[in-house]
Amino acid sequence: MEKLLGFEPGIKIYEGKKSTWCPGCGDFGVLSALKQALFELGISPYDTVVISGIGCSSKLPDYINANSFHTIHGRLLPVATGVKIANQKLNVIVTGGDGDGYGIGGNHFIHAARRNINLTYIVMNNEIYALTKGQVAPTSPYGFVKGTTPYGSKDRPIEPCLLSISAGATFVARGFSGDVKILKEYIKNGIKHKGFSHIDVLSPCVTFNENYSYDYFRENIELLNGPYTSREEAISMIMKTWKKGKIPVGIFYVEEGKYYELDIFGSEDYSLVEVFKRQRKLKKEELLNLIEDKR
Amino acid sequence: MKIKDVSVRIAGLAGDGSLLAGEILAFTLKRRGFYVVSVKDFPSNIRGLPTNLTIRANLERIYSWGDHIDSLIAFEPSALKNHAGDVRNGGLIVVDEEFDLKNFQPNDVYFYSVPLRKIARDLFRREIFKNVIALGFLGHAFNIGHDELRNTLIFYLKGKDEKIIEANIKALDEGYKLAEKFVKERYEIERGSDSNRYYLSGNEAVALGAIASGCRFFSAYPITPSTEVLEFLAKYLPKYGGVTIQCEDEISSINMAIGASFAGLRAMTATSGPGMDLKTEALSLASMAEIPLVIYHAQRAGPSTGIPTKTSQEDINHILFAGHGDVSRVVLVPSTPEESFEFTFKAFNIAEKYQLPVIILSEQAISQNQQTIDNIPYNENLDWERGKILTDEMALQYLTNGKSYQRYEIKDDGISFRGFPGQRGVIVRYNSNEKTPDGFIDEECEYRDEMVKKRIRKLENIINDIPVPEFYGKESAKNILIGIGSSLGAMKEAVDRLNEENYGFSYLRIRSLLPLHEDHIYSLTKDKNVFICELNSFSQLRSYLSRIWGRKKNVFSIRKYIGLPFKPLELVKEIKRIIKKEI
Repeated sequence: MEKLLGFEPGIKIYEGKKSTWCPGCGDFGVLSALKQALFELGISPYDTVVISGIGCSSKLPDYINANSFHTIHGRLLPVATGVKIANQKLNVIVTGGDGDGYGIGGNHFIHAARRNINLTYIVMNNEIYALTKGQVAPTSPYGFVKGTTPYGSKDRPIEPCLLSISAGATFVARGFSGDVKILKEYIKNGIKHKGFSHIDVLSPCVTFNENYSYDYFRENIELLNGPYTSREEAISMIMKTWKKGKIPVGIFYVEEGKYYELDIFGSEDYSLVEVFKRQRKLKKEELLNLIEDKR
Repeated sequence: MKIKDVSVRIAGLAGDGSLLAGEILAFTLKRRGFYVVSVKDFPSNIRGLPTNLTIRANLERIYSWGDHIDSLIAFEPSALKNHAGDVRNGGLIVVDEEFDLKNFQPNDVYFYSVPLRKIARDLFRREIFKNVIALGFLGHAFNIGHDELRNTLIFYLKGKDEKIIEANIKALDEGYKLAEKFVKERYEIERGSDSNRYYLSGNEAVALGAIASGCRFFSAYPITPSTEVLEFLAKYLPKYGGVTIQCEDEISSINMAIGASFAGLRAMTATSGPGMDLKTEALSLASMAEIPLVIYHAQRAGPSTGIPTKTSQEDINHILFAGHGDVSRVVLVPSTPEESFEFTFKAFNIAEKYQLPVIILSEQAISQNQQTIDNIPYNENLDWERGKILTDEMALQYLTNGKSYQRYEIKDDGISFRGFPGQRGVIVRYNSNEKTPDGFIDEECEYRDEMVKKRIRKLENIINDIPVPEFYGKESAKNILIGIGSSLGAMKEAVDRLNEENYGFSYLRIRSLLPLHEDHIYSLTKDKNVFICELNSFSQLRSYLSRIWGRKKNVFSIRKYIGLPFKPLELVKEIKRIIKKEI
């Protein structure tokens, strides 16, 4: 098993530092599902890069044994896009929270989906800003009362999966961190999928968001019978479920086809960093050919 | 006597074809062996607002657009009103006969009011052809061979519809014929020796420099006046296996470049003032995470949207100080297309050697205006200095030696080896947080002191790798003029003229603002009257340099902030005024 060179086979190879999350945090389930998914797919830590933004969930890279880049708030997808284009052989996992990805990073989320870059974006959605000790998030419900919204939030929440489906993502799912087994399958499918995989994970914040507890989610989620064959159908089924007062989970939409790197490089095997390593400086004549029409 | 220095302005409204006519004339003069400098003065608008192009051609290498113009073609009454005053005595003005000239009193110039629009309408049914008719008129007046202009015209219209090319050639003929009827005295334009030089903008030079430097990832968002870099690299980077991406915004474009650099490529982004505002958080990230990155910044007049298409040196403070925390960076300041190329090559080497962001601080007057240059200063023997890079062999050794790789290992020179994701034997961790040597978040602030010191130690030797200031003149001169960027041409000509009048002047052109050659600048200026010229109102350069002299009294500011570079005479006049009044 050359891929795992230097590691004793076993799930322990993905073991990172001990986490500093609150006991009972939903993100533990996500971390555990991610490690199992990588293990079951046999992807080496050397080949994996975990890229995160800012927030409790964005500390995940420290807790897993893989290459990592803990970036800045909301900019994880652009950084990950640069990494993936530079070396498409890497398995790029992007992890962050709902405030990070749907709030401050919202624009990048839409455009990464539309670009259909081949990476897996896992959002730990606790419907709150937790690292700053509990403020309203773009996913929090209308009327949400917290420190910065003492009279109730006047904003309506975002539905991230509707957003990514309509923006052009080619794998869209929602899981629940209380059900690691199913979540692991979603993550495995997301990693295997060639294109932008968006996995929104309901991940309870046990410290600041008592409304959205494990029990609450267990009672209110409804597993949809996806993936649906069209974006329209997926959107319609998600909206119908919300209208019933239930939270839709499941794999909503999958579309196989051309993804960004394949489109620009024409091959799955092309690694720009490898090509660059072999390149030598241009001869002067070769360089000047580029500006021949400037003389 | 044949003319060795000639300047022409073609002025009208956006959409009039003034810029195209001017570029064709410029290129024709270049092919005649002249060094040409061009200054575009255009609006952020597609049609209908005043636009002009000034070209100055000289048999010697020049860097300035001069003070006066010899000839003016005005397509609009407003263009005549605004620019006629710049035409020197004995010069030439061509206007359309349909102008109402009741209130216009030409100076001592050859003034030709001719039927440009009428011919265009009669023969081509479109007034737009007036620009090429006017070009032919000027060609005759300057005694430029009909075929010379025609060849350039065809060269510039390459790829256009045959019929359009034919119509333009006919319009040029008509211009020559028209001039034969009107022109009383023709100029004789000299011919130079080398017709094969390049005519290049700063943006093109930077893009070319990026390719030469091995940059294989470029991500940017279109913004005046740096967009041409994006266009050039979008066209040519794929030829070398590379990728150019137009991103959803400025923030994404710098972060993508950071990601590509992390993965092992040489990466660059380009922008201007408002774009740099947005990129600032990522500049701070690149510094903190120790990411090699090249940022090309072409200044325009601000603040905010300001005047997008006009030049300035207003972002000195921003570029030097942007970013929260102790953000390290290098700032190089080119003046010419050659330096734009050369500094880009240097920037990539410095960025990788010291693992930090390097900013090339240019400005609209350099980035978008074209100049004739002798050569691209590309030295095939200069290496891509990639600094401390972990080879695959070195990475594999970690498997056997029992150590674990540390991305931020504390080293004497502050520089740790860069490993890359995918390498066998190492796990590579980058972090925007303060970190432990192996790249984890340093939650307990155990390494803060060491990490800060490490990042500071990296900076100590950079001064040996950056371009020294250019000194021009005699060290014994008692006055010295200091400036950067587009001020070069005006500074040089102003110093020459002042010296002709025995004012005793030299100039110092700073080519790297950070790090700054403080000792060198101090030794050249300490006993002199110092004049600092800059294109902003806050005296940003002067404020920054004042650290060198403390409270030295005889330091004077010359500022300009209307969006155009200095003219030599402006500097001469202002310097004389200051000397008379203050010294």
